Amino acid sequence: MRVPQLNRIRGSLRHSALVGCLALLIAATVDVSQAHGSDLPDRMTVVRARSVITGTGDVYSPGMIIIDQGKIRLVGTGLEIPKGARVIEARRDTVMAAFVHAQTRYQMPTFRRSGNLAAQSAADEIYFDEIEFDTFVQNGFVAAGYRPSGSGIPGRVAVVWTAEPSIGNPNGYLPIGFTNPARDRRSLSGILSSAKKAVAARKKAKSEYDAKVEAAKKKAEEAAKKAKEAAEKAKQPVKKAPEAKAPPAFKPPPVDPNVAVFMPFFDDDQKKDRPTLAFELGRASDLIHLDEVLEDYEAVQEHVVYQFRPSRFYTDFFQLAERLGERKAHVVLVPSIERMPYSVTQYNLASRLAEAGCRLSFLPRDTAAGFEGFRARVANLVRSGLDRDAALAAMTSHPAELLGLGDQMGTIEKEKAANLVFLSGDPLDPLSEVSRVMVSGKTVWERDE
Amino acid sequence: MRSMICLALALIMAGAMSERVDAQPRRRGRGKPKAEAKAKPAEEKKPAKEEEEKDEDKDRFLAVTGGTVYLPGGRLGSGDTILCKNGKIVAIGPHVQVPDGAEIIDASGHTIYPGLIAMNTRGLVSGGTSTDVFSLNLSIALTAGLTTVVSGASALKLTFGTLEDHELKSGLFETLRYDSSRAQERGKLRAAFERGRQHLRDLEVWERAKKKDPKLAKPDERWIRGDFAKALRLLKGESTALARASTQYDLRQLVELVQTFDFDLVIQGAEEGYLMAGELSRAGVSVIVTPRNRADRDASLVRDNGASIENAKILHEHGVPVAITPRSTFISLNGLAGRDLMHLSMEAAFAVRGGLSQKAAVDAITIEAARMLGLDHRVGSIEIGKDADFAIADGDLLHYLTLMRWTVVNGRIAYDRQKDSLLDHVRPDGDEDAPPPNDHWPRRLGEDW
Repeated sequence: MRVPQLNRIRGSLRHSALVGCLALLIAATVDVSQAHGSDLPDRMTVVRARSVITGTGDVYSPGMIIIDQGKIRLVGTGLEIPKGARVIEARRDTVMAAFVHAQTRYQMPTFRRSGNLAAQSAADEIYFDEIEFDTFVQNGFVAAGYRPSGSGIPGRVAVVWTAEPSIGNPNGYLPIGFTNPARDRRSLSGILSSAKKAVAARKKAKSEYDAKVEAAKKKAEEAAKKAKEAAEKAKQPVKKAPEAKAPPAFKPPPVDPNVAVFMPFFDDDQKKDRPTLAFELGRASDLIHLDEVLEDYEAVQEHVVYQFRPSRFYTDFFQLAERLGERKAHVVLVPSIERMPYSVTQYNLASRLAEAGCRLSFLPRDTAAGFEGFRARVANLVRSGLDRDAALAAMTSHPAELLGLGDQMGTIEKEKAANLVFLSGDPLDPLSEVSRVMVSGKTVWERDE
Repeated sequence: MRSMICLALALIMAGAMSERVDAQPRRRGRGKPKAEAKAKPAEEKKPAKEEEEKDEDKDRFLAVTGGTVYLPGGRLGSGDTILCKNGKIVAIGPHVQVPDGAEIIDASGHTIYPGLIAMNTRGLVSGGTSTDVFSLNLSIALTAGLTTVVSGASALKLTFGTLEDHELKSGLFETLRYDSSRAQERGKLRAAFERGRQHLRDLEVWERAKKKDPKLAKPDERWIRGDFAKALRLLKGESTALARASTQYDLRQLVELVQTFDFDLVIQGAEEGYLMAGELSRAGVSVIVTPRNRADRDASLVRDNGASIENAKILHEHGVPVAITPRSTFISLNGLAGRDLMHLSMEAAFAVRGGLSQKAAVDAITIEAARMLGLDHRVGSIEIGKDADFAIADGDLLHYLTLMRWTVVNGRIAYDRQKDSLLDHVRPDGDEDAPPPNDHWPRRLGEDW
């Protein structure tokens, strides 16, 4: 359904269209020389676009991005093009940070699993040959978080790079099902208390071991001293004391590896290893129950993300908007207009959450059509009242944060990786298309006209 | 002997002083200290930990001003203000100072009753561990003024939107099955009581003999399980029994059991209780009746039988503590209208139809029910120190046109008729010309809906 662009351009725009074509030709000639240069060290790349949506609040129209060695050096408008830089003219395109899919099982089979399998990872389930990662890339998704199949605590999400399919991080966040409080409260508090006890046991064992090592060392010293004194008394040369056997290395008490995943929450030395826990809630009341369980675990509360997974076609999550807004919670949800309980009245849950102060991450449906229609569904929410910046962040920076890529990508900022998506129009215009996707400054996909 | 004389004197004086029939029902203290009745299995949940963390959060005040307060004893205090702090009543009176920042309910033109107690429910709450605190049934029960419900073996509060202080007490009653259709079970239960009583005697003997011979072995306790354990708890006064009985025969059996073994008993049903009210009173049993339960008189029997609308009145006159519960344990929006939990006050009104006094009828769904549950130190009446549970009605509680304007649970407004549009379709005073409500069903979305 592609209408040749030139036919639709009216009047004054035709002029700039011609100029643009000229520029493209020039760029093409320049690019041809570069096409052979994929083995050469990267030159600086400059992107010139009609509009650059940085994601940090700045929108530059027209905008320029200067990329060096895969990282963004400068963003702005009217910047000086460095000598020898390769220029990508995208004068009709809008450039924004590439999209991130926070949770997917695209083209992976579903199978049942339950219980606590926190130590496993989706990375063990992914066979790269079986998945068409092109679908991700063509729709602007540069990174995806693959979720292990199953309910309960199925395992860690694997962060996958879709452009050159590879596992970025096999130990992403940990989804935890919490849709049945009667059962899940008990299991969650059981797991957390086991982890706490395990940490205490390990600390105790370590201190006992240290004490033993100290004692052994002291004994050896004293024995050496005594031998020396005895030798002096007997006027005999000091016999070299037999080398004290090194005590065996510290063996921490065995712990179920699925519980060990939660141990860093109770050990301040392991702060870096604390996983992000994504609790999947079925209804508003589940959050109240979850809060009761996590009341005693403050360290856990800082690493919590909520995912709304209603099982019925109405939801009561609007009841939680204020609560979650106060905590500036991170909420993962599907971009759709929700229905009130026992009613056909619709409401915009995403806009209520965003207004209250939550950070949102949107998930597309896990099909090719779902990926393609993702921006249109988000656009529908914006049309119904969702803040535009919140919507764009929910497609880019917040899911990137969730996957642990928040420092590398998600916005167009200095020192972040140049993971960009070029759209032929406004990102929230359903008619606009992805024209180019760039990962670390390299174009990984281009739409051929 | 002396206590009998005092009791007789007191009765004579009471009789001489007033002709009112609605004196407090006689309560036969067993001579056993009920204060130890908090042992297992009747666990009472302590009020939330928030009580201790007062320094961090501000105190939460609620003031109900301008209304008529239904005070204990049936007295109405017009113009009294009730001040509640952190969910407890701290002051009642005409000149109560309301602190800044308090939530104020202007209840002028309304009557403030203690929150109603439903003695037998299903489907509102799920034992506390998985209650959906945003559920529709819970909201509907609040529109009827219910604040405490008995579900299964626990008493819980209808705390909309929060789980704080949701559970009141678990392990309320020991169920006794002692009716005519289960002869074998009756025999076993009786034997258990006999054995228990014997054991208590043995224990006393051992206590005394221990002083002389400290090495004497304690009487064997390994057989104390199941029914035996239940009987022992009842005999020691640690818990209360609950039995269902309708016919005189069953009631007599229970009365005989109570008089032989001397334990606390609550009888549910007691349709023919009015025919032996004196015996029930002397035995000291409490009764939960449903005035509208009909059992027609069987004309083939010579003796009196069948249910009577005057059941509650006659029982109350004889000094039997009476609580009232509706026939259905659900919120039923289909089926028999008017006999479900929404119509608890109507059930009490029918008892008034049978001759019970208004005060006793209101007591039957508030303080008497609380006493039977052992929770009268927390709920059941508006007194200083008790929980701030109110049903603020726009008229007389026992009138069919009365609706609740606010329902307060634990000092929080759990239902507000103008905001929760559940009953918007009910026009005030049947006035057809009243302005239609902003159809803000579904509720609680806010004024900007």
